[in-house]
Amino acid sequence: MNHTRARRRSAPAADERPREAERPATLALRAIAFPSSHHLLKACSDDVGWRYEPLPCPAPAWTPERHGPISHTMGEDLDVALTFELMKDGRRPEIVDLRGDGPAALRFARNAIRVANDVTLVQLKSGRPIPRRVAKVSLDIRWSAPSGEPVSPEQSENVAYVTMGRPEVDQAGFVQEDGVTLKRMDRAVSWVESLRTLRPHGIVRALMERFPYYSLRPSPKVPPKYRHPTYFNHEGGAWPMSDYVEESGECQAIVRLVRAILRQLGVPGEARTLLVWADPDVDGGRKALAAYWDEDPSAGLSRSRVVNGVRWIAALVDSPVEIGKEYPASHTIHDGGQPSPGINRYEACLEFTHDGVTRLYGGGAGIFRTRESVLRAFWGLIWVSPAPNDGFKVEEIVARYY
Amino acid sequence: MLDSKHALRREAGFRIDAWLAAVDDVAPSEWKPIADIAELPAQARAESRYWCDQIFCPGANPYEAPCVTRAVRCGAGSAPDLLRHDYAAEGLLLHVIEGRNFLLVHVDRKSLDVPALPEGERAAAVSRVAQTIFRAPLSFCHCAPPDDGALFCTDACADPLLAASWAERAEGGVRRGELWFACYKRVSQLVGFWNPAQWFCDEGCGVRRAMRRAAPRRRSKR
Repeated sequence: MNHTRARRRSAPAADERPREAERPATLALRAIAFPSSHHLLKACSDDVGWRYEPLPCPAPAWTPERHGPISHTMGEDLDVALTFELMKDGRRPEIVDLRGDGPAALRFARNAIRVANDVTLVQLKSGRPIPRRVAKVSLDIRWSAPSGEPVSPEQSENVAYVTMGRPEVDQAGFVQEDGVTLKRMDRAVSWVESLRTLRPHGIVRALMERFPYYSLRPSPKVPPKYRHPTYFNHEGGAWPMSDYVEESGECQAIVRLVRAILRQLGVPGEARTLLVWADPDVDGGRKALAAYWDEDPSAGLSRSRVVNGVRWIAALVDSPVEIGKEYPASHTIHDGGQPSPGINRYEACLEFTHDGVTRLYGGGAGIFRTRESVLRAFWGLIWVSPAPNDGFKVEEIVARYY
Repeated sequence: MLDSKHALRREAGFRIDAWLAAVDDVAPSEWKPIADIAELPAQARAESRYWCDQIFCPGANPYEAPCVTRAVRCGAGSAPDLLRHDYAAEGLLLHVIEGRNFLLVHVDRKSLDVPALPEGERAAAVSRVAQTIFRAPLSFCHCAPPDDGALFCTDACADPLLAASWAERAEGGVRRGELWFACYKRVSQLVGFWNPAQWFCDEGCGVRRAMRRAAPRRRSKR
């Protein structure tokens, strides 16, 4: 507004000129950069969907024409690099004082800034750190010059995504979910901001609760390019699942999304997909066997034997069964709408470790302290033989878990 | 006494025979043409699209090829629901018939007549077609030059009920002079397959989804 006023006064009447010359020159803001921000945001203006494209966001983050987003770690001081020009519309002092008042009591101040002939660059640091919470903040800073110069514009506006730590991006380019983009950062912050916790296990638990079940069948509601339910695609991997929460996905996809959010926000801890199963030939099915899905995606129960000329296959069954009884294919819907028992190779869960504490988060199956307890997601371990129409006959019950 | 390998081979053979027979048993009049894939129940359409994207190279995918004619057979009783795509791709006339648990590819004899080739060229021709149409590099084992009635597969030791991926095992053969392949729609987490007669059943699909929501909650209470 001062800038407008200055322009209006750029052609004053002749008798006003002496007074105008005594008026302080306008301090015009030209650019603001945030050196302490992460400088990792990509694809700020290009529509790349959920993909990671290393298209840098414009720098500096703020100019009079452009108000770009930044991301910054909570609990750290916010550094500002401000470029201004002292206009020739009034008295030009050799030094000026500058103040900035931002949200959450973030204040910037620098006195006796020596003014250059053309543009002046000044570094400022917030008087206090950014509050310790994950949030999307309107970083509106009102600028003023206590030395008397009008500042134009009076306010700079940016969006700041406040994260727990510096985003982890060392797998960008070869892990679909890795890499910081505006769309991903915005989604990650919006999901975690509302949790109002900074405990990594609390965050993981809440994120997993968004997916109370997993899905093994492609959903017609999810565009085919995303490859629901596996989310093996070149469109951002598991990130699009955040648009189709109701449709869920395979457990490994849920874990990939949760892990991606944690890495986007620099949440400490390690998240991995763990496959857990039992084997009739190992401790009578009582011992939990496990493998990390990223190391061995084909891991799981794979045991068969031949008994009296009939092939038996070991399986983990999710509801009660009886020896000698034939069942239709997994999860066949009976006339009453009830599903038949399903037979499985493993239970997939998210193994999250932080600060020496490890927990296993099952896709809707609860939180477990040990791998053995994950087996309780099943009714038991059984031997089955094939029956017509992809059904199975229960030959033997090896172990019951509840 | 059957050893494990023989039992597996026999069982896989029975399953493939049953699938081929299920397709053979459909009288031409039982195939109901569909002008638009949107006529298919949404769940079945999503599954078909997913598996075709998984299994076929883009150039041979019936969802990407031009001029595909389609037909369905709604199974009664325990007969499987089937979806058929007929089209030309990569210089081949293909007839793809999907069940809920399998995907069968017939290469029309008009575009490739395997038995008519010299014996020494047949295996290479089969391999070339597989490389052309499938997304995964499938390598079929041939005990002898493929002739009419031949059966072959990529890995006789891989268990179709336990495989972690469709690419772990695929079957093939020559019947009535026509080259065919069969791929298993394997879901890694499951042992075995879904109910083949409930593929086009929307109500069943809806109830199943509700069940999957409910089941973990039941488990977590215990």
